[in-house]
Amino acid sequence: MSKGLIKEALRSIQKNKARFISIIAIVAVGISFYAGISAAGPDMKQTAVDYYNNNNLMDIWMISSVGFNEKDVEAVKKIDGVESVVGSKFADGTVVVDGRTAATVDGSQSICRAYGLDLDLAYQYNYGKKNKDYINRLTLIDGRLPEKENECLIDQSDMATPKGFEIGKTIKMVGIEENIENKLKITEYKIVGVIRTPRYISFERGRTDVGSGSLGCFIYIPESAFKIDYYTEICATVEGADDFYPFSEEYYNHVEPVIEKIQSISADQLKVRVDEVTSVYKKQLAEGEAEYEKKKKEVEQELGDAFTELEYYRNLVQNGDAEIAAAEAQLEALLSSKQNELSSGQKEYNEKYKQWEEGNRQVQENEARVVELQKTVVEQNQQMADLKEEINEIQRQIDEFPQPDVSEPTTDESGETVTTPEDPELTALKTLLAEKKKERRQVASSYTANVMEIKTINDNLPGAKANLEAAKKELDKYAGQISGGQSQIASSAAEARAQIERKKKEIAEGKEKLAEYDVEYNEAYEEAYAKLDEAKYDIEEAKAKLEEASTNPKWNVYNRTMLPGYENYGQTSGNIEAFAKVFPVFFFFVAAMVVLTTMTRMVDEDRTQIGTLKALGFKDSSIRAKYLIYSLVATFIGSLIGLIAGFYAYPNAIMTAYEVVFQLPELVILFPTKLIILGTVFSVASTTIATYLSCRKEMAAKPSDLMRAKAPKSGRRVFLEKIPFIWKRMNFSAKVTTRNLFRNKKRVFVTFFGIIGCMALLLTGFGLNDSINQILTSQYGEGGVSSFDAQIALKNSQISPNESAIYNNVLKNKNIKDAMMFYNRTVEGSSDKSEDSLNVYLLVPQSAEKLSEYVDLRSRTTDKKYKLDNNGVVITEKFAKRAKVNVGDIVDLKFNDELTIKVAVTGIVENYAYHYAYMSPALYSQIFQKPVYYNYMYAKYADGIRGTQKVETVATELMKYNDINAVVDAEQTINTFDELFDCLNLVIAIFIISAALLAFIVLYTLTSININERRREIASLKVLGFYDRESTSYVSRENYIITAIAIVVGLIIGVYLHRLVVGQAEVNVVMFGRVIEPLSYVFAVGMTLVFAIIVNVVMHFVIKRIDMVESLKSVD
Amino acid sequence: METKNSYVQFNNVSKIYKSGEIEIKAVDDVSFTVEEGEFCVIVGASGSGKTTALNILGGMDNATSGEVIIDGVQITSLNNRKLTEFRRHDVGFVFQFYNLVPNLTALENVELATQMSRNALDAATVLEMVGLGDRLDNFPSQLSGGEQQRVSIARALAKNPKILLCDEPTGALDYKTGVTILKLLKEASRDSGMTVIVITHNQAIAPMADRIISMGSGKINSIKINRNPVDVERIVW
Repeated sequence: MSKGLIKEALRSIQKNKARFISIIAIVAVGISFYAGISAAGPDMKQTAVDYYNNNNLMDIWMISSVGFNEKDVEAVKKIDGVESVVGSKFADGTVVVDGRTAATVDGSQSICRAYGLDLDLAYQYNYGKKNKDYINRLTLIDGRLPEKENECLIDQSDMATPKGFEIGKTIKMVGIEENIENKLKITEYKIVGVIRTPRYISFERGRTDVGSGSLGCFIYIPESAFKIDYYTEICATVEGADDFYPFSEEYYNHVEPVIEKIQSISADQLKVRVDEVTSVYKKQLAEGEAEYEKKKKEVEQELGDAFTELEYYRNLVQNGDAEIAAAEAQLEALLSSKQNELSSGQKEYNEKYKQWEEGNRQVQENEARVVELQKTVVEQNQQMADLKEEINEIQRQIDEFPQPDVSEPTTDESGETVTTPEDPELTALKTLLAEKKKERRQVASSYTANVMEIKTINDNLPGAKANLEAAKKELDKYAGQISGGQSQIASSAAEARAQIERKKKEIAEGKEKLAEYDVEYNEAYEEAYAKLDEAKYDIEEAKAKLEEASTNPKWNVYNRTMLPGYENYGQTSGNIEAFAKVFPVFFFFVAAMVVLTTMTRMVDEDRTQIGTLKALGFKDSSIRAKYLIYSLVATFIGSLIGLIAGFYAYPNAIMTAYEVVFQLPELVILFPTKLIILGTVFSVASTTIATYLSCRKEMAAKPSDLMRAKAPKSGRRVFLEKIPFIWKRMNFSAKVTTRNLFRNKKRVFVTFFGIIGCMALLLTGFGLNDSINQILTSQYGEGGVSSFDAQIALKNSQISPNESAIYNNVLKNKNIKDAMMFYNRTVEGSSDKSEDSLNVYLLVPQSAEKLSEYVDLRSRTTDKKYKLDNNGVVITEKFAKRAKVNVGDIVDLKFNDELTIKVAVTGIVENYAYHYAYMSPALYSQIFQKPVYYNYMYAKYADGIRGTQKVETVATELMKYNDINAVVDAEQTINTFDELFDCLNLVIAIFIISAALLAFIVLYTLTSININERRREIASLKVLGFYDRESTSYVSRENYIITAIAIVVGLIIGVYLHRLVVGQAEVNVVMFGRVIEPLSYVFAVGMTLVFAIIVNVVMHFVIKRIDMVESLKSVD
Repeated sequence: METKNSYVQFNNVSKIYKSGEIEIKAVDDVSFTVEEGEFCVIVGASGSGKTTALNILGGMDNATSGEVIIDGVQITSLNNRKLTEFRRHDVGFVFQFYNLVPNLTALENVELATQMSRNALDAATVLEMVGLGDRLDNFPSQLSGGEQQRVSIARALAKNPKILLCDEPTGALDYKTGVTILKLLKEASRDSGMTVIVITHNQAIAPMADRIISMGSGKINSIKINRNPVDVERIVW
């Protein structure tokens, strides 16, 4: 190749900068994707390798039911292949911080393991000295190492470490049905530092023998804070194990023989230790029993008194209301009968009074009559005296009157005797006298009658008066009686009322007292029994240890697979590697296609030159070299950029996402030679082949043909034209576009694939975001799987919900709408069909029927609702998937090494966070032949208890019950998850950026090629008088149609890609949602369209600048 | 000879290209007129500025100075859009290399023009007129050079423009075909009274024109009005 050609080749780069850059860009994007994702797995693994070697992670972990002594450690040390052996101590319990028992995100109480730390070694390591006997070295992340016995270090994981664990806080270890004081000298520790330990690479903390069975967190305390004189674990490293790759078969094979050797010495070692244990715990048992008896008496005495008092008030309150009602009724009855009596008495009195009044009136009349009569009598007497005088006067007058001869009668002429006529005066006198006498007689007679009457009246009057007097007296007495009765009634009613009031008050007070005493009593009861429990725990502990010592003493020797998260991490990094094998192929393909079209165009443009060179006698290879150099230089630069960007960007993004789950030191960025070579070779090979193919036709052609203008690609009919039905209905520009689309299939396909890729990536990116959010919304949100507001972990198991004081107390709480008791136990779930085993919560509800009020047992795919029955358990979806079981299959639920149950699966239900197996209480009782002991509660808050602050208040209130260990509300869980998932935004951003790059590069490159190729055509259109807009749409309409079809295809592919990525990205404990939200489709489509529009807008200006004169001038 | 009211007026038009320090005067202060319905031939050797003059006349290129008036419209002062409109409705172009859209059939190539022009004629009729009635559905690649040029002329005529500009229409054709093409142009001018301006380096064509403008080095050499145009058939080159 001549110097001139090289110069020409280099100059062609300068001349075709845009084209050159587009090759660099597409190669860079493709290779960064490939290299980045491929490197992520190895990077993750190398990070673990470095971490494990640096922090001297144990290869062998031993625990024993009877513990280990110094001699055991010595014996293990002597075994061939063992490098270092360290005996150390730990103790498990719950932990109290800020006055609350710490809880894990899933709502159970967080069981905390306190590990003993050899401070000397820890300090040495911190100063940079690596002692091989310091196994499981801690990396201090924040704060400092403990200086005093009562200082501790906490766990780094945001997910595992309970809320409130912060440097400066004090935490308290509390035993779970045991006296932790037997194990720890000190139970309260101040947090002074945050550490990371290679023991726990993920946030999973493994299992424990106490409580619910799963460990929630750990702390490190100075070893001297332990009381126990034996070791609870032995950690060992194996010689030469660091040389093997930690997750490899070779590594396990290297460690296995050592494990076997250790197991072979265990029987002999155990004998000594068993004797020790037996003597220690026999003593503890004896002491414990004595203590228990003593305490029991005290407690019974104490409680007995309190109980009597409580009963009094209970009676009072219970019967008081009835008593009051009776008293009130009695009072009413009494009042009404008295009132009756009174009113009849009053009537009688009234009658009698009337009678008396009548009598009195008569007496008064009589008396008046007497007075009148006496007056009359006096007058008459006077009258009579007067009359007598008158008479006498008249008599005297008469008498004085000359007396005629009375003996000589006188006769008159007629012969009659004629009397001599008396003197008339006398006659008158005589008449008067007679009259007066008559009058006097009359008066006298009246007088006599009157006197008689007076006498009669006077005779009767005293009697009548006396009678009246008596009646009056009687009446007065009666009246007194009546008014007395009335006031009596009033006063006795008042008295009765007062009595009732007093009683009422007494009852009200009693009620208050009862509530108070109830709480007091419950507290006293709990306290007393807690005291008693303490004593009992000692006995039980001793008994258990003795039993273990006598029946089943065993050393459990494990390799690293026992470490929580260890295998999971290995698998995860493997998953990503697998992923890297498929995904980047697509990018390579697109890159190669872009290079092919670009180079083809370039060669096309150089036709005449090639012809000239050929005519001048240059060899094909020399001519071709120009294009190969051009593409090689571009590919190399692209590869370099892509490799560097890819090696940093993708592994870091992936690791950031996994930081939710895994805690490791900063990611080690590897530059794997294999990937560099492979990636470069691949890209160089594909671009070179593409370039070679591009100039093949030209190389084969004769110079004369090349120097002649290339006949434009002839027009051809497309199949649509054969369907006149459609073709006739299309307008002119639609026809043109359709034909153009079919004219250059290669270009159309590259564009098509580019957009599909962009669309699929965008949809996956946004969909991933949805999937993660759905964990929260579908689990805890409105209409989600879990419809409870809080999970409550109880301190002590309750046998019967109805008789459980704490259950009733919770139900009575005004902030609680309803609650249900559960038995909750972490078990290891697995099946014969799968190797995987998972931590599963076995939940036995108090009522199988009512479970649906708290947990929606529905299938995600079919929406079928399941009910708990007695034929088996209902399990959650991810558990089923991992165990590879369907409805009707059998799952194993392992409680501990001795106890595993096999149950049929009767339903598989939707669930996103954690794994559950739901069992009916009847089935539980049937399997275990004992009643269910409830240790857990789901509660629903009353309406209106929403918002962090209110919820917090309720939780704090509930925590006041002694029997409640932990309260975790759904809001808290949501918040925790929310924070955790924030970092995943980076991953989504990576997806969007990749998609945008892909779309831009492909669209831009292909469209500019398109325009270049058709420059002449476009110029012709312009000459014909096409407006710029029309010219642009003549080209861009094709783009939009490709884009539209690609979007549809990309949507479909994106759905599958999303499913694939979600499946890979998912970690054990959660199931990502599978649904892409409508808005994400909108965003993905929208962004793809925006990319297309941007490219076409840029192209509009390119088209606008096309010079008609220049473009039409020559045919070359 | 020059009338202010001529149909086409080219008044003191210059087109100067600057390439660094060097100024190239492609068209140097050129003035001429063409009357309505005239068949005008501009002859000149390669580089005489005739194509530049035509491009300016057709609104494809801008003049550096001077004015061009066509049918009373001063096109040198039009903006881009107006210029496009002018090309769209008032000008028909015929090129040496036809510049047909390869992906469209003969009919569609004509339709491309007719569908956007105001006074367009029926595409098929025009093709019939140029003698391609039976090749409507052929793609350019299926047509001979002469046939392609006929399509090109049909495309220009179908717009029913005020002025038809032809740039070396026979340049890529053999003699016989060239003659038929020229005949076609002449007929178009005669039948529809269309103003036709043909540029060519071929002096032999000149006698058929009503007006012959001869150019060289960007200037007008001569303008000759031919009272008796020679019949196309008799032209030989």
